[in-house]
Amino acid sequence: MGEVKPTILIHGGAWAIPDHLVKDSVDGVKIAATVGYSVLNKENGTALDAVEAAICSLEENPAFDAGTGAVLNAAGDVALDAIIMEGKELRTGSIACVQNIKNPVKLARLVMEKTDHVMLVGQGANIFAKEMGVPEVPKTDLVTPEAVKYWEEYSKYKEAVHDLFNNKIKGAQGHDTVGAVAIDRQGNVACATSTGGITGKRVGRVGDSPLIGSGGYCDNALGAASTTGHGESIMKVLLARLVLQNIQTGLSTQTAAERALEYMEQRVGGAGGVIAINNKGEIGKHFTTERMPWATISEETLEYGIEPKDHYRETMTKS
Amino acid sequence: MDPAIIVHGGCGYITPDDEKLLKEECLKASVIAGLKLMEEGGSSLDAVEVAVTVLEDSPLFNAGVGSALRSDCSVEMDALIMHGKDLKVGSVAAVKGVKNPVKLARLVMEKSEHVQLCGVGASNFSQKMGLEKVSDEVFKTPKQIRSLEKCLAIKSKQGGCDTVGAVAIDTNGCIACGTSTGGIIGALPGRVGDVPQIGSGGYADNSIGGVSTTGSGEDIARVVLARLILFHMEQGHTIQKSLEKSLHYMKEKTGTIIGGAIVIDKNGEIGMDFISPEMSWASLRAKIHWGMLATAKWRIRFLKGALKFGESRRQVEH
Repeated sequence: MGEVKPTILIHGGAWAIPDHLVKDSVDGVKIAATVGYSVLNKENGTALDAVEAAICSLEENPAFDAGTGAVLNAAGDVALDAIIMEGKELRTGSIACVQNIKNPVKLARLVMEKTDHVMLVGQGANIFAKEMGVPEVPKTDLVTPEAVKYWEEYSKYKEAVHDLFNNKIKGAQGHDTVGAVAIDRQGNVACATSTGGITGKRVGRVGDSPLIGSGGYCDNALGAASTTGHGESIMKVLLARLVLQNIQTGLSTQTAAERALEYMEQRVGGAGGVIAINNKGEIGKHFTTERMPWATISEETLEYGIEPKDHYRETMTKS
Repeated sequence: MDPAIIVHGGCGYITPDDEKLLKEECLKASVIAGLKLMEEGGSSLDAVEVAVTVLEDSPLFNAGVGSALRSDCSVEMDALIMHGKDLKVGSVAAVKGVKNPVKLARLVMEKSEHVQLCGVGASNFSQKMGLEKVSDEVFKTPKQIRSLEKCLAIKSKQGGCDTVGAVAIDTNGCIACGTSTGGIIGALPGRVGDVPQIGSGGYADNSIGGVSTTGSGEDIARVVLARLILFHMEQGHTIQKSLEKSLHYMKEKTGTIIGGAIVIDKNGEIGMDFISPEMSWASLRAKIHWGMLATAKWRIRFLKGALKFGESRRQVEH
């Protein structure tokens, strides 16, 4: 394999992020990219370890709807979904509707590495977590005042929100999934996605994030993708797998991401965002919502943004 | 468009002689029920729902009654249903106590804002929708109890991949697919395989075709098999070539030889293929065909009309 520059790309969710959350969102993805890159850049750093570390950073950041800061379901509980996948052997692990776990992406990795399965859900997933010695944390550790506020508003205006789900602006609901894709020196790709889902979702609702090909997919022969946005729309078009299929037909990573989102909008009326990387390390990122915080690092250069036209660049200082 | 339907009763399990005829009869009943509905004006969605329900109600298949048991001896089921017009889809994962998971999947699609419900949430929703709650005992068969005991005793890798599925196309050219399973023998509670993963257990898109898959669930999911088959068809390959390429790819990447799929394309052409020693299936459009056992040969028998017998699985004549 030729010289691949280790590269990581992060997103913090595609939705109409309110002004007061912009700074925290941008800071959060920059930190996550830095954390992930420091793992990637080590001599034997792997893409898989890098995406896991980056997602943990986002899960522990209350600004994002994943882990701490996750939104609440219809019962007022936190129910978490996550997926992690590596592109060499297509090994993958995911969990859905798991409760009171600080780092769902770590549990997803345990599913991948310690079971013969690819996905565990609900109570079964929590039992597995206990068997693996993953500590259960009090719900209050994960719930933020912001999440409670959204839930109270939702409960009050339930009918109106129901209409919002079914109208054409499917991206209007908060979509704060977090995701990461990376490629390491060996040319191995990996992806990971984590979320608390949408405010007021039915108990047991599984969105796109933990479903293979929807919330994320990767394959060393093509690249890696992680998605965010209106989950039900993403699932209908298998957005992550579609991005890679577009790469397979010869499109650049950027065009592959744009075309996939255009298709989702046309076919099922859904809005969202995509981050992707091909097997040469070329990145693509696109979103059809108002904002999506993203950050990427490669060759000691950090690039990031949140508005559609943003493209900030900083050289990383060696500490 | 002449309505058409194809169903499968799973692969990865060698049917004992005393079950073969029973399975054949059940598969035939399944396609007849589905086609009849479409001939009476029903949609392909109605057809796949009823066809899969017939198979779920039979103890012979690993779906609904007859589901494989989890490692703790409980029953948890997965199902998917999808309509190719607007890509509407509904699925349930690790649901307990629902006699026909495919019916519940359809209710998720039509009566909720979501695409997938799992576990307790799925069961609660089913009761809200007025579906009867049934105990695990309804689903357990002596065969599956024995299989679990064997699996636990020898601590073997779980096996038995007898998912059921259906794909149909109606007079309007609308395509639907449905897949249902009890999972693999001795799976962890909460384990979800390929079936409810959209694009893996099945996929339907009127502009390409519909697919339902069966086999080693984890391996099917890793290659997103149903969608992969349709990607090849989008590139212009025939159904048969698309099936071969996809199943071969899955075998290469994951090492499994347990896999199969049924397909109907947007023109109403039917196809199937499998890399396991056996996959039971039946298809119907004016004439009924059924097949099982493809090591060296398979049988095609026609209910009415024509008349060709084939030795190769490619000779599917309608």
